[in-house]
Amino acid sequence: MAPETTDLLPGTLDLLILQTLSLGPQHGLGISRRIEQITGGTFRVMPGSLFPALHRMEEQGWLAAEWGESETNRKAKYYSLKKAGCRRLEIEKVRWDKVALAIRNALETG
Amino acid sequence: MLRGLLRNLFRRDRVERDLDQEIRAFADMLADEKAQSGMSRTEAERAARIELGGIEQVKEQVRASRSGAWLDTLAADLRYALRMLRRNPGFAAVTVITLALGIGANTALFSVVNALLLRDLPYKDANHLVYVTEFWPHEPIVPGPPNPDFTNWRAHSRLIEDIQAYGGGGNVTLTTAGAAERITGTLVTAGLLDMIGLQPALGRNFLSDEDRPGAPPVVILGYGIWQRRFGGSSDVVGKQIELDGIGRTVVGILPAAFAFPDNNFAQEVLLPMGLDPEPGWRERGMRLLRVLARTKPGVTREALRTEFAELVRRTASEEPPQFVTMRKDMEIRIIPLREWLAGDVRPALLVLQAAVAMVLLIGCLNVANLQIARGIARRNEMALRTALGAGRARITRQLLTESLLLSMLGGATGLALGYGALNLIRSFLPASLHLADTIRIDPWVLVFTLAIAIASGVVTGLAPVWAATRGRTHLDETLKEGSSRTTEPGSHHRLHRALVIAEVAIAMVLLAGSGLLIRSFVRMASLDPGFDPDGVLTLRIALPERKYPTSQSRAEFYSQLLERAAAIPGVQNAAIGTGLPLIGTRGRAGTWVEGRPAPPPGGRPSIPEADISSNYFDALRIPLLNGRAFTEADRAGSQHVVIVNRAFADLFFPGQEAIGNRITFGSSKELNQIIGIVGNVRQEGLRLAAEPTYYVPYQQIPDAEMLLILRSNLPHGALAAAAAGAIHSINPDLPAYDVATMRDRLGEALATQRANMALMAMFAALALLLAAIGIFGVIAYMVSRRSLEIGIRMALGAQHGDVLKMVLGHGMVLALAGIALGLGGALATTRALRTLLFEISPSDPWTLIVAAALFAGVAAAACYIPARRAIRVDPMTTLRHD
Repeated sequence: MAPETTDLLPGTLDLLILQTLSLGPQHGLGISRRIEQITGGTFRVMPGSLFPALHRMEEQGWLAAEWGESETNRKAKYYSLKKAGCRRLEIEKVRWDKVALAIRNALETG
Repeated sequence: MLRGLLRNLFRRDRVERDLDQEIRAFADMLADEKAQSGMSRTEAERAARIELGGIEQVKEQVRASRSGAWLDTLAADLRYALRMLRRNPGFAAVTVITLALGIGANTALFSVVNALLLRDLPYKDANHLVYVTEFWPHEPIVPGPPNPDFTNWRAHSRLIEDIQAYGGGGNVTLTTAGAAERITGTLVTAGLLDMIGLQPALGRNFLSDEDRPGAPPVVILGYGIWQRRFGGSSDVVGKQIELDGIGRTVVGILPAAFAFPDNNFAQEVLLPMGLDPEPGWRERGMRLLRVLARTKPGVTREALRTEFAELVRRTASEEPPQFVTMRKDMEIRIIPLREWLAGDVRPALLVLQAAVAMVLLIGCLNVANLQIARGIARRNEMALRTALGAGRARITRQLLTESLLLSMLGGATGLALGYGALNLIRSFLPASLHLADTIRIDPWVLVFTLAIAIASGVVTGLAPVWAATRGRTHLDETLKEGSSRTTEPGSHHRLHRALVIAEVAIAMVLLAGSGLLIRSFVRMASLDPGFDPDGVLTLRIALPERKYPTSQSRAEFYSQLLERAAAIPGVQNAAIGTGLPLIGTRGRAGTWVEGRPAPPPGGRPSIPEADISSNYFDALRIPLLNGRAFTEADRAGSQHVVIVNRAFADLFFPGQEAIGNRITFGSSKELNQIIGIVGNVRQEGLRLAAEPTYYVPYQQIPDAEMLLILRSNLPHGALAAAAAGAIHSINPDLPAYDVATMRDRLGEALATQRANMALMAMFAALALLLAAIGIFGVIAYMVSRRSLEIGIRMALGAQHGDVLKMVLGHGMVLALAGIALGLGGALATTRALRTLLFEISPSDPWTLIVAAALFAGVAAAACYIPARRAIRVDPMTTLRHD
């Protein structure tokens, strides 16, 4: 188990999922593990949040889903970024930079 | 987005299968991962399941995030609710019927309230229309302001835009197009129809030139008369028709759907009033009018009243002395049109609407109680659904969907019931209430019905939600026990009982109210009206002035008529008179006794008088108390004689002999000797005590209009035909009208009281039934829940009587608590009924005692059935059961 986990800030889950998938198609567990990995174990995404987010983004046309086979020879659903998803990732990144900058400034001036 | 929605809605199976596979694969891979890190396969699977947090919960969360999720949930809830209802049809039927009765009664009554009290009146800018009337404390009955006041206001008021008058006229005989017929002719001022915004269906309104004394005679026909007599032909406009022997040009036809304020002109004709533009206060040509005015915007009632009173004061010096006395302390009343129209029925309607609201409330409490009982029985189901991932909000929504589905079914059924009840209610309303024609189910009524259906659904749904969410807190226990034997939490019990007590209390208030109305009706119906109404047929005739211009000719006609009517085989008595019990006398006159100091001019009491034939009292069986009746010898030219009633004798000659005294009346100087005293009759309807009245022989001044009174055992139809035959044998052009038995007239006089009583009694019976069902339900439920306890008690030696006493005791404690509470409520609220009651106090102790006893009896019966079931409990079976 990760030493210290934090709840995701609202809106960051979408960003993290999109970022993860920008590296290539992945299934649910893969996405979950990748997020854990790239945030150094700070964030753990529970299936109860992950799957609703994936389905929502698929409905919105950001992601495509396809059945494939996992490394362990299991049938798994693979998600990949669609064009709209790439655009969305850029928007989310810009937005996040703004937020992060604003928070940093706020903390420093305080 | 849209594609996703459509897919979610229409390809549900595939979407669901996909989701299931996806989550399962996730779980498998998670297990694989854990197995790789060294766990055993079983341990790995277990750990994976824990980390996942439940496949069903995750699936539920995904479903909730989908687009159209609410639609989905709703559909699922509805499907589920329907399935629950199908599985439990008894519960569903009881609930739907209970709510349908309550909602139906409310819908029907609200459509009446809506039409009479709420909906815009069908007149142009009706909010500024007011009815103007005067109250003279020295005259008991004043139909309206005299015409000099009217012309005065019309000429000088600054606060009104328009003022118009109608009324008077009476009946006219139509002799064009078919047999002679007596119809109502109403006099109107020329601008009346324009002021209220009425355009004729054909032709035009009266012109002001036609509304002058001596103007060429014109007429406007009511729609009914036009259809019936003239076949609805448009040619009739511009033609002349003959009314009372005068040719009048038809200028217009009134539209079909038109309810005039206090008259529905359909079967009438309108005639121009032709008021003298500069009237004096001469007694001839004086007319009492009904007056409608349109105020300028922003003018208050009080301001208008003050102005009108001031205008009257300015011309007071012109009034002759007798008017000054009669109008001393006169009050002008300005009544908004709606208040004027609904004045009589308003209190009754509000009381009845409150009563049906209470019926619905009782119904809702009943259903809520059923739902709670069911909710407790369904705790396992709810616990299971929670375990399967349904959140608290989801369960609340589910339960509300169920109760809303029930209340909507109840509402739809209730709407149909209410629609069916409209005709019933309409038939109860007094015939004089012409706005009743506008009662219908309109969009506002539909909105009202929908609103109360939703409200009932929410109210009855909250109870099981409450029960279910409480059950949730003991989720594990509930699942573990899994037994239907668990004793429910005490709080459910308390709520249950509180609801039943509330129900009983409300029903008790209704029962007390209806008891008071029933007793009022019985009192009124068992009043001695002072005459014998059975076997008496009455009808009216009117002699046209042209054909019977002199007293002599009229007297001859009447004596001939009496002779021929008496000769009809089977007729015991034939009489005529200008007045009848219950419908009043036509005339009134200031009356005084010879030899007493004269009162100020106009200060003589105004006493009703009737002209009658000699056997009038025989025909109506009004008892002659003293002296003698009229004979054929009492005719014009002989000594003027008069018969008075008991009230007259008591008023003028308290403790003295009345017979032999002589009285004068009206402007006549003639002295009339009192020769007899008869019993009192309820002259002006049943509500009013008998007034002093005097009777004179019709021959002295034969009136043009008379009532023919026949006492006979012949059937109504045959007798009416024979009477018409007798009239036509003298004059074939003379119509008989207003044909009715005295029984009918008595029934009419009781109609309003009967309507109030019948509706209230119906609602109270409904309330009583529902409350009894409520008591029955809660006791039956208690018995079934406590069968184990009862079994133990019986095994330990309790006798049937003890168990019976225990169960009955439980029920009766509830019932008596409710009855006591309801009695308090009744004492506090029946005052609202005061105006509807007749000679009975709103807190009449006997009524309350009888109502309480009746209720207690019904409650005992409702408890007895489940109590019987309790004593049939076989201790061995119950104890072995677990």
